[in-house]
Amino acid sequence: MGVRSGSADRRCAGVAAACLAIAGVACTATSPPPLPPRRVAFPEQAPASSSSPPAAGETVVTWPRDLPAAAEAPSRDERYFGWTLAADAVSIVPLIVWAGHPEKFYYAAPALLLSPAIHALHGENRSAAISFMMRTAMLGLVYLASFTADQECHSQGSGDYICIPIGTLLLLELGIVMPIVIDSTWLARTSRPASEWYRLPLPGATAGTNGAHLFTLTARF
Amino acid sequence: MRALALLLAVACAGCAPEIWLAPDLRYANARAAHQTTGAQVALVTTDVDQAYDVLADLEVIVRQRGTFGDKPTQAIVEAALREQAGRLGAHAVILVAFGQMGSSWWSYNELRGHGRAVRFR
Repeated sequence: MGVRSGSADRRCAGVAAACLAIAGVACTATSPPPLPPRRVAFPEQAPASSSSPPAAGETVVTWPRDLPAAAEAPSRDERYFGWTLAADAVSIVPLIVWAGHPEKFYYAAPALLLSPAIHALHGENRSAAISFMMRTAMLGLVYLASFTADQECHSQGSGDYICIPIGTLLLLELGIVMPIVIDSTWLARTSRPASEWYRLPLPGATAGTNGAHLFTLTARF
Repeated sequence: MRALALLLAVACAGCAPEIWLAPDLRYANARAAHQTTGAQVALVTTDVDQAYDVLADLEVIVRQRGTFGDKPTQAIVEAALREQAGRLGAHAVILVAFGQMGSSWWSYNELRGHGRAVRFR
């Protein structure tokens, strides 16, 4: 009874491979060609003179002026949807139990608090607030659904032994899946400064006693 | 009423495309002390002969949010490159290139672009 045949396993593996292949083909966005390594050799150039006007036909590139604000490390975006999905996987069973026993409110606590707590731990307080509001609405929907399921079954009144409230179940699924999807795809992202930037040297130009520019390098270790 | 306002806020937030930043500092050899005006940072598709220091290789991915969100455009990628380059203190972004717009795991429409933020010596 419980033993699966080898052909069934092979069929499952084939279906999974086909699904992956279809998903791979569906990704049509391409990346631009990779950037080359850093250039180290530059042609010799005459020293720039502010008094001499540019020659005819010469392209003059205007550089943006430096602002007083200190330069910032580049932001790097990261996702942490694995944590929110794991939290939802943990909290889904107590949530379903709570739907059957609404008086045991502590069963609803993981579904309400775990994902917002993960956002807050990643420093995303706005995402935590949005997640908390979505999950409050989700619990309200589950609470209502627990009553409408009873009504749906009683209204059928056929005396059937098993009643499956299809409408309520669909509503429940939508109400539970939506916050999980929004949490994992939209909200579960954070940006943090690239730490290796702070190890780069800081080039600067200083004027010598004769007015010539000296090139200096400083670094923080 | 409050729920309606929240729904409107979520719907409006869903219109603007998502901008994903992934800078790469593998080839960087310096960092600037001060920011520059991002709007004035020049974007060029080729390398330049003027001596420069590499501050970072900037990669930007713009994704359409949902079905009805704004589609990603090269202008959005360029604006994101300029803004990030300005924060780094770059004078220009060279070797700017774009990929082909298409679908991905995360969005119906996605556009990737990158460039090298440099500061002239």
